[in-house]
Amino acid sequence: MKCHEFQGLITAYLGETIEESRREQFEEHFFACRQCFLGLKINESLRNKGARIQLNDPPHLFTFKVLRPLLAMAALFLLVLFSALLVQRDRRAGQLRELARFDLPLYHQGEMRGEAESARGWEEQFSLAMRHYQERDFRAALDLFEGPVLSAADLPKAAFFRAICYLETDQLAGAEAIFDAIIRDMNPAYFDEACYYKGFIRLRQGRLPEARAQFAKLAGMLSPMAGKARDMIRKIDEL
Amino acid sequence: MDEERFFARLRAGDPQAQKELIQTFNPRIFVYFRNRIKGESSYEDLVQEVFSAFFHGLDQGKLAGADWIAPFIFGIARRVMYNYFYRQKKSNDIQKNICTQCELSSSFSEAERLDNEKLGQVLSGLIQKLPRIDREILDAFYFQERKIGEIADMTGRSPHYVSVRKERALKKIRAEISRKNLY
Repeated sequence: MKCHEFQGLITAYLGETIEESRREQFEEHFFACRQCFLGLKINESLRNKGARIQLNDPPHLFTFKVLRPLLAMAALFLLVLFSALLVQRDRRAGQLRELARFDLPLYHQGEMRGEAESARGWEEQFSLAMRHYQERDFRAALDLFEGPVLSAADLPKAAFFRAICYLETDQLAGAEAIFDAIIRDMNPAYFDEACYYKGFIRLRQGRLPEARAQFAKLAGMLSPMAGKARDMIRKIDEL
Repeated sequence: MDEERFFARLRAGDPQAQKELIQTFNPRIFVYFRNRIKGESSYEDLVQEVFSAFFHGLDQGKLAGADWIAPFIFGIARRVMYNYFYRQKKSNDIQKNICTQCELSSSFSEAERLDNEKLGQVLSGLIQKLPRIDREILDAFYFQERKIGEIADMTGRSPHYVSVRKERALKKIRAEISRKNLY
């Protein structure tokens, strides 16, 4: 007997209306075929009411059925929104990084600002440090600026370029301490530049309103850096 | 299951293989006797006699291979059934014939009852997952004991549609039980 024939005879077998000639074939088949025997057992169990049939769907299933597409749409919407926010945040971070870049303050060999520097013992060390600085090797420059000779020399220009080196190596606290000292001392040789580059510390910290306030302070002064500060304010406002 | 390996284990008297064989064929033998012998309250002795004869035959090398297991058991069951009718008026002494090579101390009736109970639970769960129309058809057919034509009138569908849906629903349940090896 084939399986499909068997399936067609299950009801007749259980209802005892199966032809006697087919009955034995039917029985022999379910002894040998697991699938067909399972079909017979399912029918038998249902006939004997061994299983329960609930016609009404449980309410929570119905609710879930209705809510499922809505939940899927909401999840999709959130995903799109989240992706857009991520992209926007990345773009903004990129713009901020771009804005926080600055041109290095130039140094001319032998330049002097303010009072004449008296002691000359540090000159060689300073020249060497500034050579590293101009080659953008800020770590090597810092080794010399932080060394005993230049630290002891108490030179405003050494302090200023040391702060710039800190800024370029992202040692923002070190840079800020020096700029603050220059601003506090009102040292006219580097006062304007300290104010200007302090604005970049704020930019690198991601503190945009404070950076803008710092540049605005300088823009309101009678200062050679006022024009550059106004440029920065414009760029921040465009961001 | 690797049939030949299973057969070799049976021949070697592996108790686990004997248990697997009993688990597989016990429900089939029960269904057979239940449908053949009416009015008997317990078929346990008859089922026991079938397995006893099977293991005895196996021990005597009457089985050529794994393919012969099901036909051999069916043949024994048929013979046991005929014998039952022949001596139904006499007291039968089946217990004396119990094969000593295999542990047959389990309660076949209890196993059958548990088997049916488990199947009922599995079925209830699977039926609940069917579309409502399928559940209505199964309920009308099996629980209200209506005929296909009546269900067709009740649901406003053709008898062919009802019949096909019923068979497909059963097929789906069977496939799911087989796939998950639930029974």
